[in-house]
Amino acid sequence: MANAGRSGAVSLLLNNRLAAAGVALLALIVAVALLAPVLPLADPNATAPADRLMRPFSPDHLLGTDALGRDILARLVWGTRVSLMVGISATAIAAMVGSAIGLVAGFVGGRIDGLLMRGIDMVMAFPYILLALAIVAVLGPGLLNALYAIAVVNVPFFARNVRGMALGLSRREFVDAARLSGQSGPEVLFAEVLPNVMPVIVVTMSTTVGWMILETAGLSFLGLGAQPPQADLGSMLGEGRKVLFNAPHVSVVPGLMIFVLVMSINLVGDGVRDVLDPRLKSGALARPSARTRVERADAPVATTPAAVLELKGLRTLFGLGGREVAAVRDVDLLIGEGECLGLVGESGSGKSVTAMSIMGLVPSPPGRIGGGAAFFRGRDLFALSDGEIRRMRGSAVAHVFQDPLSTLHPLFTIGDQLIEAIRAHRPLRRRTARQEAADLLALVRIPNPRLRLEAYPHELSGGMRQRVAIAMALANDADLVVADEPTTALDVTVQAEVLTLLNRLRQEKNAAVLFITHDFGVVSALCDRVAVMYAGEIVETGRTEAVLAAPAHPYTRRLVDCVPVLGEPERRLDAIEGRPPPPGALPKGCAFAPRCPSVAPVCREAPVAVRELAAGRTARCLFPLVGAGHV
Amino acid sequence: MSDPLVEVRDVTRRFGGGHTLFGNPRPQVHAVRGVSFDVMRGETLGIVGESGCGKSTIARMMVGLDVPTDGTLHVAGVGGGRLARTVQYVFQDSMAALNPRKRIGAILAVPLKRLAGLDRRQREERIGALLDAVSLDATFAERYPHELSGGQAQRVGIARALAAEPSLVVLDEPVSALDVSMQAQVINLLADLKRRFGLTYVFISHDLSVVEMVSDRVAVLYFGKVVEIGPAAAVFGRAQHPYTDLLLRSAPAPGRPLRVVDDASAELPDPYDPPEGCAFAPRCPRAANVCRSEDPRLVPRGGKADQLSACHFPLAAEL
Repeated sequence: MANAGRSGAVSLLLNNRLAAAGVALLALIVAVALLAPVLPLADPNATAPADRLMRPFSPDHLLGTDALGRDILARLVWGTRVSLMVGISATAIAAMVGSAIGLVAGFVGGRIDGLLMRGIDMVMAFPYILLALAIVAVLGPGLLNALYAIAVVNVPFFARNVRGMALGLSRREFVDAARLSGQSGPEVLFAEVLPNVMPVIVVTMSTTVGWMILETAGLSFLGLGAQPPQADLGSMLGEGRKVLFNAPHVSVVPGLMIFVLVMSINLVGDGVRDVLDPRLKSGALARPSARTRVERADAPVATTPAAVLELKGLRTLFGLGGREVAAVRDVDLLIGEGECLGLVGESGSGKSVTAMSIMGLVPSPPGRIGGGAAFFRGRDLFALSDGEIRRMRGSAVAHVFQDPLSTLHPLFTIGDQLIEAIRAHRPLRRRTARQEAADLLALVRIPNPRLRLEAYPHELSGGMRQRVAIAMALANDADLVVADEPTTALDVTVQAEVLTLLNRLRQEKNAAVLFITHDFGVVSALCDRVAVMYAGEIVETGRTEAVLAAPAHPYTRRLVDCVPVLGEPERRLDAIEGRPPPPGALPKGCAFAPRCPSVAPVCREAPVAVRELAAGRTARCLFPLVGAGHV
Repeated sequence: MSDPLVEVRDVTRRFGGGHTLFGNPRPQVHAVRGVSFDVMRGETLGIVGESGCGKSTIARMMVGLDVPTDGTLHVAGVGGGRLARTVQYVFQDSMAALNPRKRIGAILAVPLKRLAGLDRRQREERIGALLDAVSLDATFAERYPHELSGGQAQRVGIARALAAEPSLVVLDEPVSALDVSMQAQVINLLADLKRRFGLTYVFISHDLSVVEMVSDRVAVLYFGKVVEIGPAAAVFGRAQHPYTDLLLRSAPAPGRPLRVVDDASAELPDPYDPPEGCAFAPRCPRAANVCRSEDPRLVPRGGKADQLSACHFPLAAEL
């Protein structure tokens, strides 16, 4: 697997055209520099005053000669070799020392961290070139001393990057787990933390090596690096400076070489960073559009225009590594006026994607609506313009999400956010909107609403934040509230409060609710009807009491049975063996067939259609557990 | 139930505190405020409580990842420091507890090498046996954590905890991050392993129905203190402390209507400045003046020797 991962990274790097060009150029330069001793080159240090300042393309001297008659091509190749060696060695030294400091500081923390990082801060307090000059001035000019100086001034880059990373990793649970497994501190540091910091070190190295070659050249240019007669790119440039006007090629050639070398290294470095940096990999830079892309062959027609929401044959697809998989397949749902529908399923069953598809909140790319329709009071939401959808979001259809901390803006007071939500849809004066915001907070039973308008989200507890999110959803008298696991992150006593509140509000405001959860207890407390999802499909719908008392689909049955119930500690949990199929590799027939206890050969042959067992009761099963008479 | 395997005596844990460079006192969080209990050999002690009640801090102290500010904590007669051989820990976030850059086999090999002192050959055999014990295929040893599902990662976490053959396993919310079907698989697995290896569990969770199912005895924590402890059937059946009662009434269960259970305006206690009396008094419907001035002691109430509660006016006592 490691090899597969590595070759994957290399091919990713080469797919980046600029990086690939950089790799090719750098490989060529390195190869020539390495082969310098065996190439048929003139002696780079042999002076020939008679042949001084010969132009390029002269016989025997392809790139001409310098002021002492030395062959520029030979000096260029040998000089590049020296520059590369110094740059890479300096990078290696800086990386080792800096990473060691950063690792220890981040891992040990406390006083040691403070001490080490203040030392690093002191190094950073001086302009780097001044510091390098000072170090060389103390140690005396020379290539080796220049190398040390360059390494020292670059240590802070590594130390700071690595320390930040190590600090975060040291507080991760796998580090605790390693300690409990009997590893000592240094072992944990090298065996657990270091491998996870390695990508950062590699990225920092690849992006600083070019910089260090430039710095070495700078010091040599000033006469502090390579000493005559030894050639390196900086000293060649320095020597050429004196004859810049009558023989420009003497300085232009090493100058171009520095440019090409550093450029190729930087291209490779950027490519490496793009491949290894997890933030770039996760697609954080790819900006999804404001609304889910809709590409469907034909649009169905609404059959129940009186319903608040009707989903017909909804199909939502995700692009995954070159192919598309359906996360939601042929979902039909109906929510009546003031009704609460519970959408139940395990993670990955497609319940959240279904809910997000309604108002086009699925990020595109990678998602798109591939078929079906969502009708809001008979209007096809997927056919509306972006402007119309924007006006409906938050007014006709409102969302409440699981984590209110991530949906409330941390830098604005909740008052500001509530007022904005109100005024986005109604032309109210600020003062009136403010009054209304306070009333909303009172409605969701937040004590001291006027005072709380001035609070920032982080100043409220989790339960209070979720109340604010609910208040925001109610701000414009939404006809439909989509609540996606709104109480999952809350403590039980707070959950009970929030559920009670939601239930009261939906009755008072007569709002329809699509309530997404995995908890049957919550469903039975709140929902009139329930729809069960499995592997992207609705497998059963019906009135909550009926479905919970006598599930028709074997999956629902098993799901109900595997949940512990308070007050029934004696019952043995009937676990569902196996796992749901991944959306990219669905079985040909019924998606639940591989885990179903009552599977028959016919179940595996073709997809199973939804069957109506009784009025308002459907199941996607050939052998439902309850017949029409039992419902 | 015979002799206690774990003895926790008056353990407190405060975070922060001390003084700044200029002598100003730093704020101090009181996470655990004087907790005492025993865990008997072979039993499962459930610890329930809401976020911030100190249950994870107690768990970390039991396994030696943290040390008490005051009080003592003995496991099999050994106190503090190197407990790893006898006590192991299963993390809530199973995926975060596995090093993403190590294969499962390498992760399982560490405790076998460090704690059990096995050589390479023995380790390979044991890894196979461990994976088998948690019903995972032997090929999982070659996989990386990101290739596992949440349930599989938690099985690996359990296998790692069992590697050094501990006598006590502290399970910190081991199933709350899992889907219900996975949750049932892991709960059943834990029960099987306990029987097979004669383990003692401390099972921490906020999910009352799960705790009721797995526990012999239950301790209810509120704001860093044990407010009630006793046999699971007694605590869940005849709760004495009003907070236990509130928790039980809040848990949604199929076929039970919602009831308004709590006054949302009640202020929760401030962990920087714990109240003098009972911490639950501001939310308690039965609170009297004595509750706000005097912290009730955890003693047997209601005529039962094994059910202890810290309340001046226990519920079941009237029955």
